[in-house]
Amino acid sequence: MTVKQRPRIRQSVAVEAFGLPLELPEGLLTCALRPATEGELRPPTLVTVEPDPIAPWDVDRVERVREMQHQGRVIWSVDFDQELGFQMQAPGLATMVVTNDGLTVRCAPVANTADIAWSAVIPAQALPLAATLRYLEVLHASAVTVDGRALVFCAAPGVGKSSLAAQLVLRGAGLLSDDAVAIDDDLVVHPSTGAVHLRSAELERLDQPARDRLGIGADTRFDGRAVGSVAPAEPAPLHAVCLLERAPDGPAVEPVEAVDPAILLGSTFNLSVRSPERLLRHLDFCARIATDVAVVRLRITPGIDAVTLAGEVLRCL
Amino acid sequence: MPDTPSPDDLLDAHVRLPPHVVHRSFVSETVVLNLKTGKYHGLNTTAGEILEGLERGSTPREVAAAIAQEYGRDENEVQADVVELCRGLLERQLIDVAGAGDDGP
Repeated sequence: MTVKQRPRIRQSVAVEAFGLPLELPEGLLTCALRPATEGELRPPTLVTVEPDPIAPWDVDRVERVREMQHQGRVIWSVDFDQELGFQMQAPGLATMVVTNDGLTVRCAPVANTADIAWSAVIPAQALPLAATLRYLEVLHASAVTVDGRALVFCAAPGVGKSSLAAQLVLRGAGLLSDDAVAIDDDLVVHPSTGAVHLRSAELERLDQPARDRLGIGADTRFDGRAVGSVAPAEPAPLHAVCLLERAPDGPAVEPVEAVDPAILLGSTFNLSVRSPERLLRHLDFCARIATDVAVVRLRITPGIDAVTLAGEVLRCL
Repeated sequence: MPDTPSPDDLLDAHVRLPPHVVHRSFVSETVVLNLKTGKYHGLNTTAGEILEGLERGSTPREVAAAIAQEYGRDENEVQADVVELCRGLLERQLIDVAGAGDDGP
């Protein structure tokens, strides 16, 4: 006999992330979030935890818009239904449904899965999708604020955008995001969460005071990476987009006069929302960045690590 | 007009961008987006200028003449380039073409 485990009834809290007002169960997310803005007029995106599994959608009605596999096994998928919205599945963890207006995120964790294991999918995937549906653009990037201006670091996974953001935070910058950053129509960059993810090699370079400042305790290791948490910074105007890359040589910081549009277009976090309106909005957004915002190439070369590069960023930008 | 118009037919054709095709200028490139397919296409700056000329209602021959004058190039050479570009755009369904004398866009 299977005993269904009903989630605890929890109070909701009003917070902000990815430029959205949010209402979610208290304590569901362990990372720091910004409190709700007083006088916020927009309706919140409501995050709920369902007591029962979400029924599978009719395969004849849905379009699979995203799928990630590992060793032949689907580890992540997104299905789109024109009426119901987007169903995100992380097998073994949770199923989530985000409505087309981005106002509702329904989460159904797999039975007996700890919150800390499955709820990370909310800020990692569901909220960026909700933000895109609510007319923000989300980049696969880390971002910090320096002197009230936002610096955004776009890079392929594993290049070191989280490490660079962490090093800048240790030098006094405010953290906007270490993985996905939401930008609105006015090119204001909004914080996601205060989570900081560091690979073990990067963690080993940090002394205990640095780990403490990043909120990385001995018990916060998860999924092969250390997860810390700091208070997210306030939204800030976009000052520069930095294209971070590993290179054999070249200057650490170099202005880009004519950015390749493919790089900007390819830096989107969201490949699931493909409506004509969103495609046009995304193109307009990238064209504005190319013409209105400083674009800089940052190189991690054999002689330049994240620590040195953070110093160069503060010196040059 | 046949599926693949001759160079002369194409030079005097009325060309228009379908409603599902949009383009935006970047610093050294124009990106053309087909909103139906979600596919992006890159054009260099001269090809971007040609596309803008066509969008304004000029025929390919008129656009070629303007480009040849602007850059001091041989008009026949530019016409050949414009024809080649138009054929590429047609193949990708990024422009519609009506023959000379047909109703314009």
